[in-house]
Amino acid sequence: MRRGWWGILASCLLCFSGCATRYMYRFDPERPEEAGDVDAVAEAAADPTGARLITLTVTNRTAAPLAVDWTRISVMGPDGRARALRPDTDLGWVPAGATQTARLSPFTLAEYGDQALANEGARFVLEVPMRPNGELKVYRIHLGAHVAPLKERG
Amino acid sequence: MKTAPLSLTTLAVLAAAALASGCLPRYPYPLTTARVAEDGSAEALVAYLGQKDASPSVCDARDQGPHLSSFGGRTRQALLRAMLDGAIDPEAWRACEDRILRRAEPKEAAAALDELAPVYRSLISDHRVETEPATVDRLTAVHRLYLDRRAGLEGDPGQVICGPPSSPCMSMLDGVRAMLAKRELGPVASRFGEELVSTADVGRGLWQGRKVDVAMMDALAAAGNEMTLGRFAQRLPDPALREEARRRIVRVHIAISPFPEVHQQAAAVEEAVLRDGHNRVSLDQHPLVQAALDPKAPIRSVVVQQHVWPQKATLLAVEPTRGSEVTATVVPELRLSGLLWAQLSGLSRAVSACGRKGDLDVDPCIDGSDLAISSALAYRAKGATFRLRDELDLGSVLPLAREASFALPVQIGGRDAVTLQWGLTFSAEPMVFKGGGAYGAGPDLDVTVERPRAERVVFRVRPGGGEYDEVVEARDLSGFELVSRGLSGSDGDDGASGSDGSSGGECQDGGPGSDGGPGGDGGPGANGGDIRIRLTCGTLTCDDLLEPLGQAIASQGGRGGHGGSGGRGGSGGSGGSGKSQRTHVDSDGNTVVDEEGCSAGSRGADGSGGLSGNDGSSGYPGRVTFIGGR
Repeated sequence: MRRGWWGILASCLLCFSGCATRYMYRFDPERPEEAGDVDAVAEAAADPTGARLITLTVTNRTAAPLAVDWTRISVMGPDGRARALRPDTDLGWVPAGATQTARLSPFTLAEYGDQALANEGARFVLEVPMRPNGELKVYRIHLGAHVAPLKERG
Repeated sequence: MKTAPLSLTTLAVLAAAALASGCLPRYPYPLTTARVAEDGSAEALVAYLGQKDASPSVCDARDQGPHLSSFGGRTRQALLRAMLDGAIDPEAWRACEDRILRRAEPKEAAAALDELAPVYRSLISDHRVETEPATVDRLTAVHRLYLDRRAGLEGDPGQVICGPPSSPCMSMLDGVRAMLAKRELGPVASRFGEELVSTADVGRGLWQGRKVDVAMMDALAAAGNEMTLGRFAQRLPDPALREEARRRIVRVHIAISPFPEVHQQAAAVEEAVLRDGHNRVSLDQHPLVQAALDPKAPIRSVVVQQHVWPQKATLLAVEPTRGSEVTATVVPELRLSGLLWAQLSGLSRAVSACGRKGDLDVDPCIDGSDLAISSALAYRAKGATFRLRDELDLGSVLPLAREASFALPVQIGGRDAVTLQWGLTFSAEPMVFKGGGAYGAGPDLDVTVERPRAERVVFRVRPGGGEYDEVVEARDLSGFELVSRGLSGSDGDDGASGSDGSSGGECQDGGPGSDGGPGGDGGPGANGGDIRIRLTCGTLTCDDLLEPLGQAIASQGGRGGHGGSGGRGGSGGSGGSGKSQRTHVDSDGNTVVDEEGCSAGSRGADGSGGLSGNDGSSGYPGRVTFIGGR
């Protein structure tokens, strides 16, 4: 009898573990005009379920060092709340004409079930304050999220 | 040596239990700073901070505005529970806790840090930090509070945390080091842990395994790395080296400043910013030319919520784009740094108000003491941050009735610079004056109705003694009431119940119940008072107000009292029991009757119910007359 109950419990666990679909994300850039100008360009690749960060690439198009306010970068999600992101290593100026890559963390999103599915079509805005030629400008990278079921073994 | 258990789960369970039991007090929403300061409890503070636009200034024991005066362990625990439970935003918690720590005595502040250590360890080892944004937000808040704490503030170095059961007891920092070494943390938690450990090294004078010195700082400054210099300025153990780090942050800022004036006077600017935290501009030397507000200035509509009987008012705010009363919340602070921009004579670019001193901004800026908002309802809280008084005497907001919008005129150096315009609406309570005294008649009312603007009327009501004022939006008049009402008559007494009939004896009928008594008559309602209305519409017409005012203003007689119910008739007595015939058989075999039997008695008749009393007559309304002045 006791073994029977364990069997039922195991079946239930298997069932529940199999019921929650796992999803992967794809982000499409939108409104690129807000992410760059003659002075600087910002690009982003988001990975909310693997490394759980956003890889930001900043290119300085000016002839002077470009200061990025690395500690004031934020991402705004569909809930309207801005969340601070920081580089995983301390960074300084982007030299004239150079490109700098930063791994911004944390950026996590739900991976399973309805919570993940709810992010289909959600828009995220990464705000990067920078000072090309000393003048403060906020560059915005708009990302449209798309979720798709992840095919798993078995 | 002190030990602290891993308490996150316990705290969460306690919070859930407290919520489930419904033992938390309920507070009016929105809850203003004045009310939370007056209440002073941890629960009120949690309720306040749970609102949109709540200001952490209530957590600052030295703030200019309303604030709590003490923040003991119970208050901090309640805040922490609320943050972990999701009742308050983690960032609101961090901002509040940061102010508490800044003002706390060293021993108290150290105790507060010790309380956070087990929570930090629990959060960073919680696997949900890898997948749930809400858990990340909580860890972020505790992490930043700990890393950005004021220099010299440390917890008890002997404190160790025990748990989970498989792990040895050790300090929070050693615990994180151990988890990193064993690769027990996911990618998100690892990055938090690595920053914690490396910043802790700064606290020992080390960075990336090397001793921190001025040459290292110069190299960082040359690369524009103010992230690391900022850690040095906050966490190095040597105050002189911390100052050197601040100096290099200032130099980084000077190097990228767009103001040629800053580069021309770099040395003087460097000293000024190190001394004052910002580069204050002299308005005597650089008078105002023109000013503007940044488009990202907060846009709100102020709602003046009036409380007629105490003659008080509460200022609330709604976001006009949402337009529903559901979004009403506290009025946000107005931080002019980055919002107000002024062109000053002799400066090459527009300047803003000075920001936080810790930012070490070198660009010229207008000091908060040179700014003013010329409104009796606003005050300067700190630096260039202004707030509105949110609990006021109603008399002080009546002049607003004349205004189309809620204007906040900003002055720079005593000169009008720019005005922030917000929407303005008045929320009114019914004005129902009830009768009192021996006869209960409604009071006679002298009512003055002013019309300072086409869309707004002001009622000034004198019920004999005193004056009650209220502003009503003209569009709300149809649902508004200004009434003199007589007291309702007293209800008649219920009639006495009849007595129940006596029960019958054996073979006897029950006695009849007696009739119930009649109910008393209800008393008459009192008359409403006379109302005299004087309209003063100034240059505006009053004609369109007559109909809605005629509906809104009324004298009402009190309702007559209800007649008492007739008394219940008594129940008839129950009939007595019957009796069987008793016999025996004699020696001849004949049946002999010893005693005759009888049938059971009948139940007595019920008494009749008493007559109900008559309802009292309603009082008469008084006269409502419009008199002159139109």
